[in-house]
Amino acid sequence: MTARVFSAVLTLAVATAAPGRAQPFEDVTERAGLKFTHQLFHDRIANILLSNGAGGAVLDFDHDGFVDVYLVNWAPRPGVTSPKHAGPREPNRLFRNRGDGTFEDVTARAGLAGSGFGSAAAAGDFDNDGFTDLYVVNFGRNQLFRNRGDGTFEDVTARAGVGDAGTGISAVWFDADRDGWLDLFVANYLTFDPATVSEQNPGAYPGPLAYPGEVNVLYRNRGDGTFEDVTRAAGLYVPGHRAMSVSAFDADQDGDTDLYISNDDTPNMLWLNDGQGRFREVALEVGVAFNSIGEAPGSMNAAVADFNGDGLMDLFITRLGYGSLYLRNARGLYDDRMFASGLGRITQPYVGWGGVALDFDNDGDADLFVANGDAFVLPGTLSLLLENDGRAHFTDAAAKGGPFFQRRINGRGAAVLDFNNDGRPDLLLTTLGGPAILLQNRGAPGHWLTLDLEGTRSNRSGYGTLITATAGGRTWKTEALCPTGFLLQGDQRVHLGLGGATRVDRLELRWLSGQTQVFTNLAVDRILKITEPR
Amino acid sequence: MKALPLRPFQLAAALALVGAAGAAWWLFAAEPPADKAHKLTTISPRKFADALHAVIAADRQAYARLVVDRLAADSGPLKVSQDWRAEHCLPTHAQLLREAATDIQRHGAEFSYTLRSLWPINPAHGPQTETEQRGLEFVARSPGTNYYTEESLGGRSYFTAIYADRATLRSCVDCHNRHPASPRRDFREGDVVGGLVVRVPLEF
Repeated sequence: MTARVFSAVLTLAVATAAPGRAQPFEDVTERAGLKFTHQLFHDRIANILLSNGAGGAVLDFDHDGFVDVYLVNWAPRPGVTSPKHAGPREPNRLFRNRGDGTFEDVTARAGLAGSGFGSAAAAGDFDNDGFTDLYVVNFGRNQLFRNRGDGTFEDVTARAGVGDAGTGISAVWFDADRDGWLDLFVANYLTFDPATVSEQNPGAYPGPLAYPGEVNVLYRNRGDGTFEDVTRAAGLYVPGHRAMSVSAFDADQDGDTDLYISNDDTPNMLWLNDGQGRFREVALEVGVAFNSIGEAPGSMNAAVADFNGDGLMDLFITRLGYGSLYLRNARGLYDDRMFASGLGRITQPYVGWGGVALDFDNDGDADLFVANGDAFVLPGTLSLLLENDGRAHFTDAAAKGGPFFQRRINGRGAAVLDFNNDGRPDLLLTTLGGPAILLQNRGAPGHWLTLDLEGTRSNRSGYGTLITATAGGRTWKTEALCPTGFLLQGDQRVHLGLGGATRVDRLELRWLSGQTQVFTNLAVDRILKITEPR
Repeated sequence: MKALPLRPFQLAAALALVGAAGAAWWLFAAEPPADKAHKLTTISPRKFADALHAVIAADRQAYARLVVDRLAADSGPLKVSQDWRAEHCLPTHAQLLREAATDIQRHGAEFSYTLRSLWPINPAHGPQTETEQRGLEFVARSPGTNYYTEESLGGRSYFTAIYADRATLRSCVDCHNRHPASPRRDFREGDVVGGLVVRVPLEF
């Protein structure tokens, strides 16, 4: 704690010594008009469902090149929320980015107010019409909203057959069977019973193991606007777990998309895809089921990035409990470097919820941001900005991040976005019972290139495309993901921090369809729109 | 019919009857007497950790003595090997412990345990937290005393106990001293080779 106080003093000193120099991450929520408050409907965290919070998604719904923001809210729910705080539910909100740093609330016109106890949202173009659609995940029936392309959405849940009624907490769009249509994986949590009490401490609420877990669901997109539940056929029907989030990425870089599921108090799962949409669970075998002290504590989400620059995708897991930094090696196994990386010591006091990878200074390596918050009480907690030295050694970069990092919040969702298209990764946060927060990045001196992908033979969102970039003698490997986090999905465009490199010598895209596309000698510091060859 | 007046002895007899019936009811039909006030109603994290350690250490020692040590001295076909899967033989006692610890966690558990060493054959089995580092150093210096503390990991409070793990048998010493990946090769029987770490979360 002393170190954080020292950081605060140092930050103030730097600000004083350099008048006019903006802090790297500035809270611009109010100026941007992003007025949203999450409704807790209680005066305390009275049970496990109330501990989780709500999120949403970043998406460019009007296809104008600026990302918009959709945030979901809770509703009064008997046995979960307090009858004393019954009062009216605020709608979910769709904020349209005007392109000048401000947003306007277009919820009513878009028809996206929603009505449920919302947890999260997943954005993807499921009908390949060029407009990003939205799947809203609720405690209770989920909803699929089709983007009509005219600023309005229609609820197509019933027709599509994707109204799973579980305790939904996360979802991801990905093309499981590589047929060019996005499929949908829905992660469910647990079946809550308000009569359950803690055996050991009647004053505390019971943990996840006190409730039965719910199964997750895989919906296969038939390509005609309807979906079929293929959970069992895909091998994904596994009862007894309580999912908190799902991440879709190509773990073994074999050209198809795999799934990593973060579970609450049971081992996490890595499902490898056989390319046909059938999955095999290998988490224990490859070393990503438990943390390095042999536990399976409450995992929140996995941030997927290449943290040590070896071209392999690694995982950073946030937890109520010891987190993990799983570095993948050439044999396909993972080493948990939580302690050796410095992350174990820095994250020790904090419950990490939304953890995201971002190159906040555009120096060419994947740094981390973690939205922290207590799981039991509401006084607020500091957030973490963690700077990577390029070899997966991290230091606390609060002093570089600005005054926000001395502010206590009840952080939950975290997403990376570039809302003003300046190439500096910004942050969007949700808090439990508090406001959404937009942090504008004013630092990031390095060069950059952002890729905005559009599939033709592959899914239109371009999810699953493997990317290799070479610039200034360095090579980066990454992937176009449906960027789910804990509750909140980020900007789907692929951002590359390039450090001092002023040209990209070679850029290779391997689309999910199998096509490869190569570009050479590309100018940097711009957003490059790339369409897959037909 | 006219009621007769109740005489004193009759009243005393009636009261005695009611008292006897009450006593009989109390003896045979009522709830059993209240629990003893001094009875234990909870178990402390330290006792819980000590009990876990006692069971784990006893099982481990029995396997080491009855299986590993005997097979090491035996020239028969059955062997104990670190590469037990590939070689189709039996795992070492450390591996057996880790397998059991993993199995317990598969379905969720409100405790965990693991083996650690300051001189691990597998680097992943070295200290993984600051507390483990301190505790292993402590039990290496003072093997007769267990190391108890509370630690916070990822915002979760734990009661953490670290118990010295000694090379009690010849086979333990031989394995650690001969293994090519072992960072220390001067162990003698009775030396501390590591520690068993038991964690009990103090919040779910």
